[in-house]
Amino acid sequence: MNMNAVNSLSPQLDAEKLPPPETPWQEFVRVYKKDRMAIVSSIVLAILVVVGISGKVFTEWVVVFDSEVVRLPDKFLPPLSAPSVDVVPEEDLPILSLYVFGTDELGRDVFARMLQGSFVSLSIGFVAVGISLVVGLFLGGLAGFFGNIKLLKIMTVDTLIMRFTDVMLCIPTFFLILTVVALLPPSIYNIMIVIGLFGWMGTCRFVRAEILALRQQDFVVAAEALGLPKSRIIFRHLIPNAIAPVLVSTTIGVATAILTESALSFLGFGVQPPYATWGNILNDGRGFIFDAPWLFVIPGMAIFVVVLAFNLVGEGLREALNPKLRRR
Amino acid sequence: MDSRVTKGTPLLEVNNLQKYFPVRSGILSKVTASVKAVDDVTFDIMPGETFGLVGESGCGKTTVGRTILRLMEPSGGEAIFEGENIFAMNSKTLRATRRRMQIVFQDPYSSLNPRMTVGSIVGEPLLVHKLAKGQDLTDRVYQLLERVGLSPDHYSRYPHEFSGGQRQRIGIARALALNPKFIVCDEAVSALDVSIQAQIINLLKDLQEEFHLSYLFITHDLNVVQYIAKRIAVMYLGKLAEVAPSETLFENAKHPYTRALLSANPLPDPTMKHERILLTGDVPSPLNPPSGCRFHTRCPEVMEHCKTTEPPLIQIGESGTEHKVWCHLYS
Repeated sequence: MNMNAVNSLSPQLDAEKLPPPETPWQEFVRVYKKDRMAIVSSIVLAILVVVGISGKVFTEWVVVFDSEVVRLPDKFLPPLSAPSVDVVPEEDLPILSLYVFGTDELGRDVFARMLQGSFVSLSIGFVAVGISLVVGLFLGGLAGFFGNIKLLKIMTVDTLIMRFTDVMLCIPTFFLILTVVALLPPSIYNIMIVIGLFGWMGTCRFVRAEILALRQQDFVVAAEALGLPKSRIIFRHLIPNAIAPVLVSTTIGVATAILTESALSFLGFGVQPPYATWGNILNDGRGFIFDAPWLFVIPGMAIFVVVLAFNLVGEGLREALNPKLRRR
Repeated sequence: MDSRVTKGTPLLEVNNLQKYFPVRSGILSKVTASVKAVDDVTFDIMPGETFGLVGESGCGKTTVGRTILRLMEPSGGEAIFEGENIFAMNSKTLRATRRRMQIVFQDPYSSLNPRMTVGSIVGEPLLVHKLAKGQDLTDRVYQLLERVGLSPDHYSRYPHEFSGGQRQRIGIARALALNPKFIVCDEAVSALDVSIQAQIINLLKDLQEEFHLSYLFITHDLNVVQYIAKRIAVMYLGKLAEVAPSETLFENAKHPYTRALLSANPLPDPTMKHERILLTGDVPSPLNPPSGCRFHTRCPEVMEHCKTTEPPLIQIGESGTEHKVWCHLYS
């Protein structure tokens, strides 16, 4: 007993056995794998990305699926039905001679239109969230790190940015987007930018709160005491620790952006026909709910699945990236 | 260790240190009051000495430590470190001076960046101050890890893989990396359990002898400070109450607050007779500290003029001894 006490005072013997080394990435993968819903959702999203890119490729560059061919004799065909070979010209026949998702009121192939729409939805989701992430990170980081600086002796940088964020949050975003989109030419890029520029407020608040909390942590004070330059403190100590929760909210933000675009297209303010998006396919199908239910079930389900998958992936990421929820 | 105070020029001289936190209110955020966290604190630390700073929670101990290192901006006073006033330095000289003074924190869990390996945590200061790079850097980090009792296999591990005591060793290795002369130990062992505390204190003592370090040892644990410190300052509500060599303080405390503090200290021997001085009431708010002696609201030996006049500094015993007390009882 006494010997043990003496031994334990010798520092060299404190090097007790540790579990095998694990990088944060390996730990993240291990925790993330436990969440089955998130794994399934990630697979769904991976497939969706492939579909989205091939949608761009096969409906616009190498036209395998033509979303714009009108075949009036073949209108309102249910999914998996064959085209009327004797009436429709041969060059207008769909691939494999099959309408996988049926046809709409003009005899257009819904599968080809959905394929085209998947690229629109995904690219709007990612680009819009990318824009709001950049704006949110910049403004939130500024408010969090340089918030104490006084401007013109009346308010601090923090007050200025956060009150501006509050003002932006007070405006009903969707109606503002509707107004702006109505004034601008309705191109896909304008819609991306508008959705992005009206969606950064959450990220901004989030980043500010994270940075403020991290600055109180001892390791950031230690970095300051070691005389590290500000840039190193920001890029080496603050950002790597603040980015994880931001990533989570971003994932969920993609879902919101996709939903906003669909809603805009549904109301006719989004991407204009003949260019297909999930929202305007849904809108077109609205008039034929009882005659051709596949026209709204298919785009509706697609939106539902994608939004759900993004949310579940976000939840999984939150679980795996938050050290407080971690169980060894 | 030698309990006599080393004579000579002090490494660090703190004179009339003040730190007030402004309290803002109203729409225009006007400063309406201030929390006097540290008020007129004066002490000095000799080269190679451990200076203990004790007091209860909220008395301003940590604030003293952090303002000296300029991790907080002071409201007044000066801190002369090796002949230069830290509070008057511009950011460039301050950065250079930071190499010579370091801090070890209380909480071993929040004091290490969870996303960096131990190797990069300990090596970062060397890299940033351009003291080593490449293989040389790795070797230096290995040496440091070994010196604080960790093994080189720990180099590529992440902080969450370690126990509290080991993390504290990593924090000490980081502080040692720049080869400082002065380290503020801000409750450095308070979050550890007793057996680990002993290991870390012994490590700190060994390092002190090897590198001729000076410590400002901030703690609320009297047993710890008695073991490590040569001189001890007792703080109450932002002011010093008493400064004395460790032995003198424990045997012959003068200030009523010090006596009450010492009597509250648990002794390892339950059979020992032990007179307990019970203080009544709570610590007053530093927002509106009592007039006169700040301790007069709770002092068992309070006199009429304690309530109005601030107590002067009194030297106890013959001149040259380092026993100082701020109390009217001895004037």
